[in-house]
Amino acid sequence: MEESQIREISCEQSVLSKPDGSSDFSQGDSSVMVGVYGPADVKQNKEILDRATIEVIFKPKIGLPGVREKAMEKMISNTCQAIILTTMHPRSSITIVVQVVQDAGSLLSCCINAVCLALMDAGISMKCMVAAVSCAISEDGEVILDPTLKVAQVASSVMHFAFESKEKDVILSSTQGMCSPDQYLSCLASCQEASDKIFTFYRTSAERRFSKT
Amino acid sequence: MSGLELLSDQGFRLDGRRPRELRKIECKMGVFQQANGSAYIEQGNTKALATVYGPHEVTGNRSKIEHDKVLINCQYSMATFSTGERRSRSTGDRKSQEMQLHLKKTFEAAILTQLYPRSQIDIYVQILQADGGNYSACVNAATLAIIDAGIPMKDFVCASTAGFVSDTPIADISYLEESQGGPELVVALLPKSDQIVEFQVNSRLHLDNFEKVLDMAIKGCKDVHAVLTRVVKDHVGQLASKMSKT
Amino acid sequence: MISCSWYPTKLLLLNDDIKIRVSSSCNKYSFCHFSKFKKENIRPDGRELGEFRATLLNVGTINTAHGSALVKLGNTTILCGVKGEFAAPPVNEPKKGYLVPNVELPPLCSSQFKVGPPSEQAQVVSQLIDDIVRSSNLINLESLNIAEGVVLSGGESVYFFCVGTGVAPGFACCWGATKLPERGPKALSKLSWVLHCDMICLDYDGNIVDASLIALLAALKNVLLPAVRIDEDTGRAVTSQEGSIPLKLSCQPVATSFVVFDDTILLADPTKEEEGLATGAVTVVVNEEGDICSVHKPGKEGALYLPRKFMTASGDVSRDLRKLDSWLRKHWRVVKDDVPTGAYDLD
Repeated sequence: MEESQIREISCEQSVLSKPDGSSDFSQGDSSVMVGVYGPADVKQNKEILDRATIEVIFKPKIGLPGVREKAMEKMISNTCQAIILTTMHPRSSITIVVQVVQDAGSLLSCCINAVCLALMDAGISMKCMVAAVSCAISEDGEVILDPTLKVAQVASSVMHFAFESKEKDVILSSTQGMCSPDQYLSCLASCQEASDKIFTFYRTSAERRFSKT
Repeated sequence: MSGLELLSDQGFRLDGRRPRELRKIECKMGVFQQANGSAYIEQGNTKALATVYGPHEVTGNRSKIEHDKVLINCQYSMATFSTGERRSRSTGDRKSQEMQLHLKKTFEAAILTQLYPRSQIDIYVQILQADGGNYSACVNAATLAIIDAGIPMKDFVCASTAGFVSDTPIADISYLEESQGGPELVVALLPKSDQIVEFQVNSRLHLDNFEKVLDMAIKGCKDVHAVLTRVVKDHVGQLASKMSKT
Repeated sequence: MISCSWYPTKLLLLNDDIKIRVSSSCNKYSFCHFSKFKKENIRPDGRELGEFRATLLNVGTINTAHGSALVKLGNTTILCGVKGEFAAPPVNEPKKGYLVPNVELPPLCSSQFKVGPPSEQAQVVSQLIDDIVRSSNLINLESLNIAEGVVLSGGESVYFFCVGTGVAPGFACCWGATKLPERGPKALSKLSWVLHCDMICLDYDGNIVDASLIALLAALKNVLLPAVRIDEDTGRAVTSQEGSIPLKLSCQPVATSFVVFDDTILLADPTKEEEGLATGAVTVVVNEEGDICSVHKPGKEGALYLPRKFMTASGDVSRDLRKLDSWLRKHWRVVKDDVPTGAYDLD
């Protein structure tokens, strides 16, 4: 596997029977399962009068959810708010449950991609699709896309980006470690290019799924 | 720690005060913009701040709405770095809840509650540094904050503590003096009418000495009242002069 | 959410420290109100689009904490207190200590926060500060290591007594005790410091992240940990105030938060109202050399105009960052000059 490519992606939709939409997404060895319920009833204290309320629950593989998981939930929730047409479902709730099955690097990207597919499966109206790509800058300044856990631990910086499908604008950017502004912009550019692969994957998997019937 | 003498032969306490002297009080009103009323007080090394929100619609438990008076909601919180040993929980433990209840009862007696039926007033108090007299600092700060918020009260509520060491009543005890295990009297007073709103005694105090210690505490409250009145007058004077500039 | 709440409106003069303030609770009204200001390229509080609010810093006010700092970024007030405790170092890295940041948004800072467990926003900001501290290697965790080979018999308390002077007439004593972890009989264990950095927001008027980071840095620079010596006879750790050393920070990250309106306008240092009305937000953390420690853009409606406008706006961003950086350098020089307490006006 070349270092400048993202890992093998595979996905299965409608794997769970109870949620309105679900997906089981793997990116290399990282694997995440997402269930989406919605639009459904919302508690009165959480309801918003003119749009849907988006709730995200992030469950780590082991242990109880803590502060780190809360931060992940907020990021996924904000990303969804940017792409879902929430004004189509006022005073309703869209609940997204993310369960980590295996974490082998680039977990946040894996989750966001899985969430996008699950939302598609649930038939929730969205403005556009979202694709997330992670990358790491190794100690000698090399840009490595979709880093594994081992690579991420020794890297000088790890970044996650999420792009929307229309004009590849950045919806989410989160970085760890230090880098120079030029390195940041070059990583951004490489991740944008790599997101094409994910958007193509969405399209082909949808075509394959709906051409059967 | 038992080697420390709380009252020396010359009549000086550990921090150089005389028995009747209060610690230095510095306070400021209207320190925060978000709250309707706020105040900050320093009594010696004890630093407390209070913010008041309201009167506003009752949030939270709607079953607590009172049809004829305002609901007073207090929260007492100590910063984790406020004491010598770090506190793991800033609020929610027994001591905080007890303090909250005392504060609530104190201010229910002082605020004209019948003016705002079906409404709620929130009083939040935060201790930034604790060196004895936490409750009194809270009450004094909250009084100023309520005045800053423009909520009518019957009178100022001034609180002070008193202790008893070597047959001498001492006013405004600090943390070291408290922790020695001697009696501690906490009094919250409405100064003009000399009415006691809150009264608490810890440890043993003989009835013979009781009057003396209580008088000392009441005198402490009246001294605090003099300070608070001056602060309020200064603050109002400043506001008035600024408004008159237009 | 439209709720009818009435606040007494404080109408005060436009003066050095007091501005006209009218509170409104309806979002739609505020948005139109805002748009009028946008047309004139000025913000409701009179600032330009890229201008930061006046900042005040007060260091070393809390004597019970090992280090403290109070920051006022406009009206946003954050107090940071740092307290050191003993702890066993992490199992996989026995030569390191801990730095634990925690941001508290109590109900006293704003009516939007309720009594109860930490709100989501508090947790998210705490996590962000923790990530920034890790990313920037703010402090060399190995410098927090005390010793190896301290004899513990489990559940013991280590008392340290230090006397500080100069605060009040006479002396102000602070003493502390900390419980060491259960280890089993006569286990030889390592000891290191854990620095608990608690940032309490006292007044919430937007831009918590920037203010918290400034408060954290100032408080850490103010920290004086007592010197620890292992008593040979008992094998216990004994602290004393003499020989206390200040902490050494390896870099000084500065956070700059922006909000986006309608994908076209970038406002620096947003107030609470601006944050509520914005369509997007981004925080950039830069250290003195200009290296990026963190770019945090947590989604939100409307894709941010990175990278297209970032290229053009990078001029603005880096200009602001350089302004902030030089501001902070001036300020750090002041703090470094051994002035233990004081209030500084920074503009």
